[in-house]
Amino acid sequence: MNNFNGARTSGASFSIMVRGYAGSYGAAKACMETAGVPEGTREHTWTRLRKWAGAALDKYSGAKIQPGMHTLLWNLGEETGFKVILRDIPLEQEAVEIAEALGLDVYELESAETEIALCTYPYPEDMTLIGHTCEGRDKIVFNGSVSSYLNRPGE
Amino acid sequence: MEFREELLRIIEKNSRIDTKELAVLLGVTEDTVAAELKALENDGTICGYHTMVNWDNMSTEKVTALIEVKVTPQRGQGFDNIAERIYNYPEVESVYLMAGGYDLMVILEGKTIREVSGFVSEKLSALETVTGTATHFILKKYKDHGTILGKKKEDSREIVTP
Repeated sequence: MNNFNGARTSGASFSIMVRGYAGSYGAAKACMETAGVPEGTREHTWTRLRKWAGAALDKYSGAKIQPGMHTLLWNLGEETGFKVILRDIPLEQEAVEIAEALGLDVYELESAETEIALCTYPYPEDMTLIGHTCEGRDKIVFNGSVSSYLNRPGE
Repeated sequence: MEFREELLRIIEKNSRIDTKELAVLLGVTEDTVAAELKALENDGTICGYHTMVNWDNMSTEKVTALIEVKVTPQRGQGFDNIAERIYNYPEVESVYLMAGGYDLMVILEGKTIREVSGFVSEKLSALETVTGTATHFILKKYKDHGTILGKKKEDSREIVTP
């Protein structure tokens, strides 16, 4: 599903879809690797997040680990231009809270069992529509009313 | 046709989505989306934009009833005439023609069970072509229009040992 070869040359237009939650694995891992409670986070909140993180790592044990959503989108952009809506990418609340507490970007964190795929209508039932391919090489991300070009991952 | 269906699938789930976002998701311009929405509204495919409300969260008294109605179809008009008479009552939410043991399914909303009962006995049963009714009251809605209502809240309080 993550093989985008040919998307650029075909000239066809595709819907961009995501399966799974972005950044959950990376957030869980970062949470468990953090000693103590991050500054500005309440202890009982962190206890709850660590509980979630432990369960998430158990759940993803043996799963295929994928890079962060930014990297997945960047790889897609090597083949085709696109426009995506950032807030439509599925996230777990706990992953967002952990990323905020640790000052991380949830879209940069690793995902497990997450796929990004180019589809045509009718869409797969278990995937979420996040955008569309377009002509050219522009990688445009919409976040609320702000649109920007996708930065190279890690920048 | 496929574009229309795709557009309708998205706004059926989220009618508040704006045209800018729709344009990104569908890979077209905002003008195309706006024109298509207008056309769909004009031809009656889009009949309205509603808000799903979980009335259980409010103190407002509200009773929903499903009423199975048996009727005698009229010559030349079938069930349409009687269905029209029923759906014109403002308290009626929906009317469906059914296959099976009864003919019409009427969904009704009232403030109290007494109000619904009054509608059935005084208005519905009084119609000449209605030969029988069976009323079912909804006790709790778990899922409606694909949305899970009143999801159980997790207790995130810490256990405190004295």
